Amino acid sequence: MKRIWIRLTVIAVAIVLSGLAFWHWQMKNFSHSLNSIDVQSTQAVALGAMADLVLDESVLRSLPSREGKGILDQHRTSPTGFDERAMFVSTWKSATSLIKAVSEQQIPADTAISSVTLTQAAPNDRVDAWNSPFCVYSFGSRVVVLSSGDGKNQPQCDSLKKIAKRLSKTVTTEKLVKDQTGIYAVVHPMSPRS
Amino acid sequence: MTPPPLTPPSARNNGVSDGGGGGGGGPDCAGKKIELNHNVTVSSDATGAINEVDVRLNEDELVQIPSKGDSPGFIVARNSWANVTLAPNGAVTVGVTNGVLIEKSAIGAAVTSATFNVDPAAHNNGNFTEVKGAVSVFSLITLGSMDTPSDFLKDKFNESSQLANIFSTLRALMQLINQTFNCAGIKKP
Repeated sequence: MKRIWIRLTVIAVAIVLSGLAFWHWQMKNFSHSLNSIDVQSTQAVALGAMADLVLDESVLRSLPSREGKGILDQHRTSPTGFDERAMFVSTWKSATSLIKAVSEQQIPADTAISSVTLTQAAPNDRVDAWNSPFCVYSFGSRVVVLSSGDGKNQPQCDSLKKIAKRLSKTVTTEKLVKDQTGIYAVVHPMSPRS
Repeated sequence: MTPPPLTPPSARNNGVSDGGGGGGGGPDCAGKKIELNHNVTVSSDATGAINEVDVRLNEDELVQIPSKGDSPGFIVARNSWANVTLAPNGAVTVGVTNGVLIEKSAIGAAVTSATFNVDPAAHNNGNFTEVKGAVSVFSLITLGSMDTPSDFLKDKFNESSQLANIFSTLRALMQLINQTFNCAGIKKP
């Protein structure tokens, strides 16, 4: 009888220990899994979700269809299109941060400037989502930031000055807009909302 | 998973604001919800600055994202909305109406909201200050309520530099939106 009890106790202890070890292993696995999140896709969803807020219709209508019933449905049906939308949101974010930095430490007026020289801005904010520098202009109280978008090389900033000046007068939104020339622009007052 | 802890925007003050209220010297639309389209609704604080964005995640189908290679899957129940709120102290909170199930193996988490902030004195990317949710086992049982803050999940979230990077980007984006857009100037695209 005593032997049976000993055996049962050993089996019970083994089961409990195995359970604890399994639990511990799974917990470790869970912690590890949070560090192996697909950042690119998750970030694309988070940024792309804000597209309707920060991208002008002139940009949105040139992007792949938004006919999905929700943003995750859209991401599932067209991951590439959704990523592209996230890239433009990221470009708006960098351009707007750049304008904020430029507002604090002004730049020469009526001059074409490549964002790579604007060290008052964080390095990430000096390039668009395709890693190309922006062209930056200051006309009176308005700052214009241009991007060629779509992974093209940085535009020739001097040659775009006329377009930038026109945009500084005609663009009435602080969203990212697409000009008829194909150039993307963010136009803000020197100090947003001041 | 348990029923929605957050009220979907469609059940709240939906539609484009049309004046009245506001208070605090802000525009008439201050504090009201503005529906930009079928998927996006924004709200503003007393000054009219946009501080809250509701985004429709999905409709009829349960969605699993991204689940690539070793990465854990995020399972979102049908008819879910995400609510992203920027608090006056700079903290960003992301809530999901029906919660999100994060699973990879036997142990996972059912999370309804996560709050993230950056302490300038800490010189780091920021930290999760609150995570509401519960540990789930085999995606079937949740150990505790999904609506109560979980220190365990907060610690686990804080161990993930990747989650911190994603929330840090989202926080910076919400801050720019808040500083740039006012409810009076927001137009339907």
